[in-house]
Amino acid sequence: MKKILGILVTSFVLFSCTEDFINKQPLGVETNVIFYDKVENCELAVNAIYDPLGWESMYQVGMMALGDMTSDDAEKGGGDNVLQYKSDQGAIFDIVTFTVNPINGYLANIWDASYIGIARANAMIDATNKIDATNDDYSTFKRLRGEARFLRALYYFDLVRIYGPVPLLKQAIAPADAIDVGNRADGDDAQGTKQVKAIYDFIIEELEAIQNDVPWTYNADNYGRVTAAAAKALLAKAYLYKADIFSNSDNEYEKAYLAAKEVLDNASYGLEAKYQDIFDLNLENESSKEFIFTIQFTSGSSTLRGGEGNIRPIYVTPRFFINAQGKPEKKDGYGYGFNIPRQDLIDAFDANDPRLDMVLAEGDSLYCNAFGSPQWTKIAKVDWNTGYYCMKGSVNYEQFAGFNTQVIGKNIPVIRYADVMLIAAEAGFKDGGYKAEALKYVNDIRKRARESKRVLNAYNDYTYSVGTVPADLSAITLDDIKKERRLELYCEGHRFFDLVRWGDADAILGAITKDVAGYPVLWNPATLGRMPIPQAQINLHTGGKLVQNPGY
Amino acid sequence: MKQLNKQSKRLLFFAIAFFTFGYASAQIEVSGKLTDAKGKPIDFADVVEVGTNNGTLTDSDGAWTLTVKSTESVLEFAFMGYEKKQVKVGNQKVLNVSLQTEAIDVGPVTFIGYAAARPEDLVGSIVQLQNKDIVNRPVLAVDQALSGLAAGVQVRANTGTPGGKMDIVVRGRGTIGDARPLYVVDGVQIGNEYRGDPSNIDQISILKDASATAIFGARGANGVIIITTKGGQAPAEEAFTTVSVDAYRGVQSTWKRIDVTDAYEYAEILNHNQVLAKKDSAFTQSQINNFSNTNWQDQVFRDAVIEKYKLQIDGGSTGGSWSTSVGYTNQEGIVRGTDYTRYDYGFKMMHKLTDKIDFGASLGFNVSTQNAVYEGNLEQSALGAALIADPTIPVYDSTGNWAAPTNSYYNPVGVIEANNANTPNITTKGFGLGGNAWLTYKIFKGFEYRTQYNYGNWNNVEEFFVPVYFIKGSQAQSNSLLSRRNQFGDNWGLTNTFTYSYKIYNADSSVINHDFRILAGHEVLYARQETDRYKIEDLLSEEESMRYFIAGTNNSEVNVNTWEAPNEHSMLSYMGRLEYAFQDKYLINGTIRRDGSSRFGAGRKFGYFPAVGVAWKVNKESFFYGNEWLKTNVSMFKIRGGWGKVGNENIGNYQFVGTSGIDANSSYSFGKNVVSGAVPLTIANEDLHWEEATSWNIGTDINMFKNKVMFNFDYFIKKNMDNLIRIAVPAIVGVDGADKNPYVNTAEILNKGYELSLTYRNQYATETMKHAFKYDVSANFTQITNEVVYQAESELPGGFDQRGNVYVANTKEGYPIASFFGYQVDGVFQNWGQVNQSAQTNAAPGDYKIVDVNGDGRISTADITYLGSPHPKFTYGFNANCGYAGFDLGFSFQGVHGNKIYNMTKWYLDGGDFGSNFSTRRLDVWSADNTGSDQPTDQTWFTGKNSLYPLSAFIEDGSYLRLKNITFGYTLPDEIAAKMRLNRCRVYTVIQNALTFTKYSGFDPEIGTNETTNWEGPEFGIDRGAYPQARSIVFGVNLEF
Repeated sequence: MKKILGILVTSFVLFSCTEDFINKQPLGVETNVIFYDKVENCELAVNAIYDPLGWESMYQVGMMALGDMTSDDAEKGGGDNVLQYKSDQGAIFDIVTFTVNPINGYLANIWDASYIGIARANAMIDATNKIDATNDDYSTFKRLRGEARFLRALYYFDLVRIYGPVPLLKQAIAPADAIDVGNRADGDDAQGTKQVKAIYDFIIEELEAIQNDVPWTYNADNYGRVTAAAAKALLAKAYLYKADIFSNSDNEYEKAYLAAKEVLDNASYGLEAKYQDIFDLNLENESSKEFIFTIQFTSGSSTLRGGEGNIRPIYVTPRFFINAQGKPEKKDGYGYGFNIPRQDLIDAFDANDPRLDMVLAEGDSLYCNAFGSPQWTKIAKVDWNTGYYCMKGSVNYEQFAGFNTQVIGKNIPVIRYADVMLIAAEAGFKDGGYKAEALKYVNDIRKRARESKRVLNAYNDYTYSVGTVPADLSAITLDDIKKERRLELYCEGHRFFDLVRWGDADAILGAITKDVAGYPVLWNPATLGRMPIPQAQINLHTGGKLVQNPGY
Repeated sequence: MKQLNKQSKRLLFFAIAFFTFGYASAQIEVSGKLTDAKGKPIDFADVVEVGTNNGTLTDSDGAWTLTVKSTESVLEFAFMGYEKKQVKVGNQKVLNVSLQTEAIDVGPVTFIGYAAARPEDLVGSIVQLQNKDIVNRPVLAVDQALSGLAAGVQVRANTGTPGGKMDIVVRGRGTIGDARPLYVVDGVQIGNEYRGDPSNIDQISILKDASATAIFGARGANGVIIITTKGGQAPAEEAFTTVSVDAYRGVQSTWKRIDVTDAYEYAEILNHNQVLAKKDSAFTQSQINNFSNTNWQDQVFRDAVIEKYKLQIDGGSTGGSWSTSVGYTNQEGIVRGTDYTRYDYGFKMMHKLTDKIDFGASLGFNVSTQNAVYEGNLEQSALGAALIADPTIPVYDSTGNWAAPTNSYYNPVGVIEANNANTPNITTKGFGLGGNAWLTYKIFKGFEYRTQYNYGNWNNVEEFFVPVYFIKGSQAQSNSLLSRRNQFGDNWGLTNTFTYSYKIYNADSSVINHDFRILAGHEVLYARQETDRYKIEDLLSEEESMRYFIAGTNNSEVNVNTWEAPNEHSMLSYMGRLEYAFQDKYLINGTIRRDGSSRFGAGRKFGYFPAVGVAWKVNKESFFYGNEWLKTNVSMFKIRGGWGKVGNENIGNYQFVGTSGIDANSSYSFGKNVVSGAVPLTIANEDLHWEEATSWNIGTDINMFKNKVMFNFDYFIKKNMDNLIRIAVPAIVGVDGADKNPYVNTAEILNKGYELSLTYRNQYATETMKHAFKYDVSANFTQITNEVVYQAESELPGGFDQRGNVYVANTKEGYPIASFFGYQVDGVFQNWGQVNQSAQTNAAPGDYKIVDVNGDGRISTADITYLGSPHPKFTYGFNANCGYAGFDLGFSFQGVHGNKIYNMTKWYLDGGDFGSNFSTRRLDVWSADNTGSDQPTDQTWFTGKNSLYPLSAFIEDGSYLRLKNITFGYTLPDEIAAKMRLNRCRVYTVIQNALTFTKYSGFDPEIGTNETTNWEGPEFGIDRGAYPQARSIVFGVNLEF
């Protein structure tokens, strides 16, 4: 019996593990409780907040679809043949012809990516609230928080421009609470006007708050981070939008002008000497002083979340060329030919405006290897395309090396110096107190354009001369400023949002009834220029407070 | 096997007896007549004097004469199919004996978890299978062998690729999450998958209801499959050594091809479309004259070898037994580029140390290599591409490169031969080792202690290489690429149990009044896993010998592109079971298990899983026993009932903790320098807890006519509560990707249904037959309804249709898990009258007519409706075997009825609009000249007027009946075998998947779940060009020395 007891006791003592045995904590990752205490971790966290801006559905393609193809500047393009045209990027087709429905994939991706960026920012910002000036790394923490807050503001700025009233989260939220979040402020109207205002107020408040947290410039290794110039430029832009939407209720035009002027007066930034060099196709001018904030890309293995490459170059590069038989031929693996300028845009320019160098037209030659060996190759026009291609987002054929065409490291400007000048001009003019400055800024831009007259000597070899077009304006109207904005910034993701905030969308977009392939374009004023809230999200907000936009 | 051994021994004995007969020293001569119960004489029966070599045979009248040693001698009378009888000679000179027909063996003991029980004493719902049930199936893993064999167990292949996995569900899918059962092999809980050699399996017990599975508590919710492997289980009756060799080899081929248009028909359709669009022809006559007319299905499919060789040596003595085996299995796939090879080694032994102490140990390992082709997204998969690729081009162009299709799709041969970085064909090299040691100590009568320790170590390397090539578009690679994902881990477990059995007899010891069996135990389990991933681009050379990471160049980008956190899992459990029987009539069985799991947070770790089962052996009642007919003809009539609660913790580790860390998908770059990013990786959910399944079961087992007829019936209700699933949460939470969705406890799933199985076994013999004709037929039938009765989320979409950019399946309240939803198509508009009367704007004759479900006069998302369930209404199996002399013949049918399949291939083949190849159905599209066709004119499904999607037009009936196996074998007569110094020699042939009856238009209606596609909610029965099951013909031999 003793022996038996012995076995019983031994076995249960030996093998009875305590509860510690089933307490296992994650390996190789840190719990949220301690992760953000280290400044190195915060830097990694902030890097990740930038990341969604570079995803394919965001600036690479999405902002091109939403800012340009929806407008009178450009349309979709693409399509191997007329039958396939519509479904080649069908989700974009629906967006840009205003036949979009709430299950559109692009709009779902943009919503998701933006809120992923915001949630990453919120996690970092929430966790570092407790860090104060006594911390040894305080200044770095402050800078990083500044970057995070700018990026969160930028995501909201794009969300509110695209969707109008969206959920406004100023800190991280748990899944159980998220389902009850909506997109209407207390006492809001059917259009969510108060929510839109709350979002602009938050953007402005945040950008005002970080003005001194981030530096004006960085070293080369950190080029592309949020600068004071970016913070002020986006602030100016947010003021301008808010003033347009809410009738300058808080004197925002002047605030916009003053914020923009601070950027324009900073010696680190200025106009690039030649217009075409802003978009250098050899990727040799990726840190031009013209750039205030750019989405950074590096030639990589993917355009998607894991990679740092940019698919926009292949998206916008010409698709149809004249082949040896004199017929149009599409080239797979070269350009896809999207975001094609409309005739209307071309017609808006004075003849010989050097800024049109960035547009290739039917019959123009492009030096490329679309037909195998590099050669001058003529652009073709097909029935379902305009025959124009905008090269601003493109690259030279060498960059398509090895056919790895989808992962080019070309940065995408979000705000550039000329944009800030035009914001200053428009805000200053609308304020009324800065009309002379407005004329000067517009003329400075026209001067740069004029001086960019380019003569081609050979492939990749140009000389520049001073032309006469566009000539200086002697006096200025608001229409001049609007037109200059279009001519200077075409196909850079601005036009549609400008038309909407100016209230010009009904007149201009309403006049477009068909795209070049003959499909109806159905601008609907009732949508207020807002895209539909993704249906999947409305379903997931089971509290029922996420409501669809009017007109959908 | 056991029976045959006995037979052969008996024959040997008889032979010896025959030759020595004449020399026996005789003292008493006895004679008599042997008859059956009805008085019919039995001829050729053995009459043997027990303990001697002395014996004789009965003649045609059943008469016999034998001289025996003394009046103390005992004679044994034996004949196949009858119960043996021993009679003491005594003073009788004439012994007329009658033999009863033998009751058919109902099988050996059944494993019920930590113990075994007699089949007649089972209280829970348990199916038992023997080696012979599965051994004839030339399959690589046990799950493949189970289809159609057991009621309530549904098995469908996820893919037909060699080494591919099965979707196996016991009693309906109870959880939205992982519903695979737990495998317990030789007492070791090995998780949700068992890849061991199926021919090594001796017995399988499938525990279905909670009263049976509760002893495995936390891991029992999806059923438990207990496997006992051969050999080394018990001491032998006498010393022996056997050597057996099993070998088979055969060929596999496709049993079906899909009718797609050839190059000329393809051109005809495209040119016709161009005519409609008033455009130039897609192909000119001179192009058509130069068509290669490639049949891509012929290019990707092939006839493939399947073979297996195994050597096993068993030995034993009264002190113990051992078994060792080595096997090699090789299966080529019917799709080029796919194959699987495996080497298995095993050793198992037990030894009787003393009368009280037994110990045993086993050690086994296997090494496998699987080559698979990508199967996820239809367009990039070899099989999908083979359907939709351009048939006009050759396989290779004049330069020997893979030809570029003129349509938007991939060259299927290029997919296999060149590979693709984003959708790679992966080679998986696996290694697994498992060891196990146990000891039992009979402390005193009825009280036994058992301890068992097991250790496992495994490693799984997934590799792929992509050379530099260019076909077209994204079917290209600019830098050579080598990628490796190495997963490795180990695990151990320790189990200690005490069992105590105690019987209390009635006064004269004739009846056991009270029979107790008590089990108490304790178990700990631990598993750890790590993963390394490497990727390198631009190798020095593409030679096979250079495909290593050291072969980088200066330009090589070495990239640890995805980190996977190491993780640990541990469990701490206590269990107890009481089995009690009163007078062998009333049985009650109570189980409780307390499990603690590291997968849940503080305060939520432990769960209690109780169960109780009762059974009543009606046939033991006096009223039953008193009836002569019932007594003779009903050997068992048992009514069972049970209730229990079991758990499920099949989720990843640490899901309750919120973590942040570096994430490969969140890097960015500054000034052309790539920088890492860190993000919230998991969202904390401290409240995460066990999923619980409560089930009720009532059943009956009836064995009649000497066990010739066996009938089982079970009715069950199983409700899984607090399903552990990842759910999509609003995007504002910031979850990046479905794989990072948080786990929550939500949803209740109800499965109810019934199971029937019926077996009839008999033999037929006449006086003139030398051998009995033995046969058995069995059938099983399972009906299950599956319903989501509660779900916190209104929808859980799954089954992503890449082209349509929609989810075609949805899990929502009131419907089966992952049901199909979409627009109901009601034929094709035949004329403008029909169009004008319809709710469809923009439609024209020749378009699909969509049902206005809500009748609001327009077609909108509100008309999306339930289109069917991927789960069968019922499943059934039918098995028949017969044998005469040395010949045996078996058939095994498997049937599935009433499920739907979403056929994504049909979308492409019936249209698509990227110029995919067509089904031959498209040769008959609706037009004004060809009315009556159900093929719509317009091929574009998504945009503009046809943006209504998904459509019921692509949902098909997935019912099928499959003749899974035909086996025909011949066993050499023992005397011939003996001359060849063989104990046994059998040659056989098996036809696997011989016939399939189905209306399904895709490759194969046997479609489980998709493992490679990124999905949010669950999906089942979605055909993205699924790898079909092969038809195979195999010839094999079993030799035993």
